[in-house]
Amino acid sequence: MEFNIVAAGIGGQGIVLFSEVLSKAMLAEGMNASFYVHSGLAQLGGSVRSHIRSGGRICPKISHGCADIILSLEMAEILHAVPYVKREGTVIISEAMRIPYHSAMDPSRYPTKETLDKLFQDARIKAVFIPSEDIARNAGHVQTANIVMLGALVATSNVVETESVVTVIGSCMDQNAQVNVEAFWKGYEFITGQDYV
Amino acid sequence: MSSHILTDSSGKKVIFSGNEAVARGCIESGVSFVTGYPGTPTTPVIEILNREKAGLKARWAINEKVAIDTAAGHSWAGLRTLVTMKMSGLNVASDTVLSVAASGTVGGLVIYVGDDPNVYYGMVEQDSRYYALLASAPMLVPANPQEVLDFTNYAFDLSERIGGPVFLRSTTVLSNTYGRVALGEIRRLRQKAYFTIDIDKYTKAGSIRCKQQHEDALRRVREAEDLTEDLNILTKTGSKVGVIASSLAWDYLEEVLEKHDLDLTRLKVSTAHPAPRGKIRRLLETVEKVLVLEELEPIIESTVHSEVSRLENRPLVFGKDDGLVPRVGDLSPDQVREYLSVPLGVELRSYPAIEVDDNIEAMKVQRLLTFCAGCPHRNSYYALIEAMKDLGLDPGKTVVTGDIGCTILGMNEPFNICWTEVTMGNSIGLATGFLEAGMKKPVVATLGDGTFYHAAIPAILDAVTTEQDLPVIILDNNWAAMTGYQDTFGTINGANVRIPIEKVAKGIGARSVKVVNPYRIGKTVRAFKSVLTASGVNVLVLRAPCVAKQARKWDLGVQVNKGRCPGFEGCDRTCIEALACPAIVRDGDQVKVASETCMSCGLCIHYCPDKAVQRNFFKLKRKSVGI
Ligand SMILES: Cc1ncc(C[n+]2csc(CCOP(=O)(O)OP(=O)(O)O)c2C)c(N)n1
Ligand code: SF4
Repeated sequence: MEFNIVAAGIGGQGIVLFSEVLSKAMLAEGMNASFYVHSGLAQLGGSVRSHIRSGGRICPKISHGCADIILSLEMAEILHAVPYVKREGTVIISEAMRIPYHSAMDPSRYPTKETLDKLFQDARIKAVFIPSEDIARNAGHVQTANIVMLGALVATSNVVETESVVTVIGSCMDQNAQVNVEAFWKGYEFITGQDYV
Repeated sequence: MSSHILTDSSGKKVIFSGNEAVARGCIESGVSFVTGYPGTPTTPVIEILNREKAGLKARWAINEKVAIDTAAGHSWAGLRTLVTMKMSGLNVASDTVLSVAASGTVGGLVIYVGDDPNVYYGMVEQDSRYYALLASAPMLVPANPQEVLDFTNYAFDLSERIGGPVFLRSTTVLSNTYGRVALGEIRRLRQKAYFTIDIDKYTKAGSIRCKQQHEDALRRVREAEDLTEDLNILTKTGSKVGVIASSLAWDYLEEVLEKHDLDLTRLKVSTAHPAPRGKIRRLLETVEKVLVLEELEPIIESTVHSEVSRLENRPLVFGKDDGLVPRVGDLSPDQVREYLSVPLGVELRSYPAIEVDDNIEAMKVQRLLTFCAGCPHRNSYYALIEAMKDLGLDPGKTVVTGDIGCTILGMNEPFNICWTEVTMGNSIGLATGFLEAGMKKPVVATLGDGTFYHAAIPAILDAVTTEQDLPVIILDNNWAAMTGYQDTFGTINGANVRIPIEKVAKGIGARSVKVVNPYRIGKTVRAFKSVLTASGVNVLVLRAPCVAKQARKWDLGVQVNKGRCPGFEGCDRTCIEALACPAIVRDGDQVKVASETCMSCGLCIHYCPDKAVQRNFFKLKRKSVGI
């Protein structure tokens, strides 16, 4: 079955690793999987997006209105993913903020959590906010916030088995595997503990 | 992810990006030498091969021209060679590419070039498929990572069958797409270098030889047309509307056809050159309308038009000529659906997205591309502006030519100091041109160390011998940073032999050469003032490593003294506004330093007019950052 995820974030947040772990877990479960990273000059703090897909015949880009889940690793970046989400889709937003130059000087140029929440409410779609960096810090390292979000995604969607993700993390991140597995479970439990599912 | 590249056996399914597939293809095909020059989107191939210690020689050349020169030598010695570059690099290499394509090759020679439709990275939005026509050499255009692997392998065989170079062309999206790939067998070739004298083939002396070589190249393309027949797949279904699509446009088409349950007559074009004329004709004979889908220029479409003109019953062609499909930007499945609706005469429905009242476009956050926190280039431009002000020059009216790389970020707010960005090394020649035209002095050229070695040396020689008064500012951060920190020829502690810029600059006649650490602001300002007022070509090297590659050693514990910071209300120009440093963030009305991001460059301490930014612990060893 086709399953589509559009993930958004900014350079340095680990969107490629996020996509890699998820698609490898999909592959391990026998699905056809692909992801495409739309990055530009991400290294310098630009926006990054990834289209992660599983299913039969899949091309790199997801069509508008076809994403089962849109997710962002940085709060405002979710706006880039909005056109992709299905009417009955799910929205998962990290509360992590990276306030750029113009928004720092003029705070009205950065959306508030309330604005975003209302935007999705008005569209009759549920947005889940995750304090991913706080959870990651508690789990051991702030840089695992991407894997916290992966945990939240898996808990929300059951798109892959948790064991598959844990195995992939173990196989592709030698010395950092443990802290990432911890982050994954923390993100997972944040959702299950809150009865979002 | 790339751990599969070397070891995994045939048949295994992995997830590979387009670039990983090319790297694997080199190994499967028994390639012994890979060279090229970094440039998005093709950079990762050489990096992967090196990281994986692939047992073949893979290395960066000083520029793309030298890369293809070297690759040609390797091929003429009978060994398989791949050369990689971005589309701009192919322009640099093109002189040799055309000459080698005329001469032909011995060992398989594949030129892997990446285009950037939609310009995800900057530079000219160009269609490198024209080079295949220009050089009379075949070009394969894969549509997904599996095809990238298959076509890489095939390209080497094809190159050796016809005796000429073969282009393998990718795009940013394809190179960055990670998809399921079934690995092939690793072939081990026993190759030994040999070269035989054949001046008819290997020289360009005389009209007869050159015309014969032109004939030979054209013959190779004709041969390739027959050999590649099976790569271009025609599916006839009897529909009145047909589609011809190439590369990613094919992948998008397939998705749209499946989603809308359409079974149209269609042709997948995998060879941008030679276009599969026979199959195009066969498709045209059965349809009333045909849509041509390709990214950028109407190259396959022009062949379609020429074939249509030979027919009695001429189908209507939909594509770029009639303005339906844009020549600017890339394509997407949504666009393909929209364009396909036109010849079909029915609107293919889009998928229900959510309805939002708010203007999402207006809400999106604008992200200024700026230097990393602690980047030495920020200090350099800051000092340049200070020096101009000290000399009574208006920074807004003094021409500074910029160059390619992170160094060009000086064009953005808050510095707005670089006026131009053209091609690698262009800053020097362009500045010379401004001076020759009589523009008010000083005219200043700024460039990075990578760019200096790539293409600036002849231009500096030119400025020296024509007696220009030109300050040449080289921001030497030890690596080619923007493309991912490749060693340059001056890289300290790198794999390459170090040939420092100052030695080269002196050797080519610079009147003075000075090396300064840009973190020492006062010294840097003084050095700028001296080169801005000197006559002759004077080189100022501002040397400090890129902090994204090598973090600063000392943590100065930079902090904002809240008692002193007057805040946004009270400050004329806050440090956020003046420096755009990602480590200085807003804290209510005041500012604070984000300790996880700060690199202790000290520029904000120097800048703050109220002396509110202070260091805390002197010379505390920096903790390792990241995991
Ligand atoms: C002909 C050509 N080749 C390659 C590139 C890709 N490219 C963009 S920036 C860059 C690196 C520049 O390095 P350097 O001059 O050291 O500046 P830095 O980014 O380190 O500041 C390269 C190779 C290009 N734009 N044009
Ligand atoms: S990558 Fe390096 S050179 Fe480029 S902006 Fe960051 S610190 Fe500066």
